[in-house]
Amino acid sequence: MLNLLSIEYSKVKNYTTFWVMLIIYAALIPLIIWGISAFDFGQEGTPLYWEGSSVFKFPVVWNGVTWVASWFNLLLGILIVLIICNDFNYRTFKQNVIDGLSKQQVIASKFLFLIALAIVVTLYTFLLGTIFGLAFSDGGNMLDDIYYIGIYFIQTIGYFTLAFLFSILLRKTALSIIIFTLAIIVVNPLISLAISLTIGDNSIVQFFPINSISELTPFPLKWLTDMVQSNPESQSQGMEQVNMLISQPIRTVVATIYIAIFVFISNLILKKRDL
Amino acid sequence: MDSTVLHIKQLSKKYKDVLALDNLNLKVEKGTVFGLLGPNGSGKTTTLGILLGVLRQSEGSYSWFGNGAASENRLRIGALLETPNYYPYLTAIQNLVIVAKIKKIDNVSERIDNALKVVNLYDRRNSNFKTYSLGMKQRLAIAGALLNDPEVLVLDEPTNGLDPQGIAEIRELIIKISKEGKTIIIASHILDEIEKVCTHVAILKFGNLIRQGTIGEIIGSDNFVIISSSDMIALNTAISNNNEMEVSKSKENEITIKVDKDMTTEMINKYFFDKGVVLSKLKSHSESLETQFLEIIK
Repeated sequence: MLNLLSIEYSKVKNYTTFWVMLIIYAALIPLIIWGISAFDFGQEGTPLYWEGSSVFKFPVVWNGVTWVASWFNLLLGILIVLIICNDFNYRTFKQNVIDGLSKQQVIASKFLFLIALAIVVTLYTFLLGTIFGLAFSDGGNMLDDIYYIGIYFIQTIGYFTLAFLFSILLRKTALSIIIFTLAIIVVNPLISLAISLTIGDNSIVQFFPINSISELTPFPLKWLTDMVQSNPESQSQGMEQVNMLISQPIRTVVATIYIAIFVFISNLILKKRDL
Repeated sequence: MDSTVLHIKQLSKKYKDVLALDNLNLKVEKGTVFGLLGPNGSGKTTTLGILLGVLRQSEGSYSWFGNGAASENRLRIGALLETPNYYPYLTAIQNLVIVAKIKKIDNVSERIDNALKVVNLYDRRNSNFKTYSLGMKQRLAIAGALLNDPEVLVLDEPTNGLDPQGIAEIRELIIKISKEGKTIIIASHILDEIEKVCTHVAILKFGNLIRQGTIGEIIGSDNFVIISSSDMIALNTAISNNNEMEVSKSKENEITIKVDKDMTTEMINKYFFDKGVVLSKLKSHSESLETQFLEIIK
């Protein structure tokens, strides 16, 4: 297993695009957080200012950091598409098999790499959460909502396996990137909106694959709740809407089921098809 | 100890509406240099693709080293299939490191240096693959195939894209490796190449196996002699009276006859002289694999 991972690492070790995209990801998240924190604390006397609450205090910070990080899951998904389609373009999947890997090992090595990358970015968000949390609060209730870090891991796996599925299906880099991106930022939101408006709520669309995965790291509700409570006038029907959302554990299970389905289909396609 | 390296049984591959390979049966013995011949589209690469695990056969089976189709078998094989497949953004060394990891090779850097020296790429070892010419890419692919010092070498059109010097070098290399007792399987349509290095040959056409045997059996079974005489009528009569001779090609003033391998030109000359026919021309004509091949696949 380590050998398979080491093979995959050799493929990206000197791949500039891979590192550039990772650095962009790593740099943007703290930058955004810094930007939000400036807005978050606001200026005393402005309407946005409320006392005592911040999205970057423990334990809300776990939700906050993973929420911001999730904006860039698409970027990481594209990175996965790139890495997998490269192996199709350069016919190196084929060569790996000729050289002695089984087809199952070829698939497994990609999955292992994808999991390893998910672990790395999850640890990175954990690090950012810790740093910002400690910067804006004391570490007393640090571990309260730390499950968001675990959920972020599942979320990245969700995006990665979806990217994997698209790459296996389409095999062409540009096509896969375009369709993967459009599915996430255009097609899914439009369909979801249309259905939600038709039936009057989002009870069904939140079970959609991309929705259930992307909403794993929702907008930090606690932050909102705190904000709303500190400002009673703005207590609105928005909260009722919020209460209709499925609970985090259920959403996690649903997302995990989708991940299993993505993996299953990708595996099936690769097994049936000639490399 | 079984000396069969590869055993192919009733192997077929069907694409949508094309039967690329039809019921192929072959055995390759240890230590042979086995040439797989055939025109474009005859199923050579399809066969090798199946044997190397990249294509799934529609029917039939194959077994390497008496160990079936297990992927571990390929760790004992060095192979080059169709095009050289490497990462363009990696150097020769970085690309071969990946091969070495897959092949589970020890003392990697030494092996890589050696393989690159053998194919004359050592000076360019730190250049990216994308900067290589076609011939250099082909050399790197051969280095990749040699990297694990394999028991069996499978080469699909190994001299593709090489210059005449490169072709000669690869030929020398193949002969050298075969002398070490290694088994080599070569697919090619360059017959000269096959004839010079192979001990055994199988000829494919439209996915069918047409002929199979040692190279001697394929090209050396007959002897061709070009004869001519001032009396062509008497010459023809003399030929038809001898059942050991057969007209292969007949021109206005010369006839090519096929005779038994043991029959010398001296014997032929004597036969006609005894029949009262004086030959004005008697030339032994050794048939090359090429003419034989064209004859066979007709």
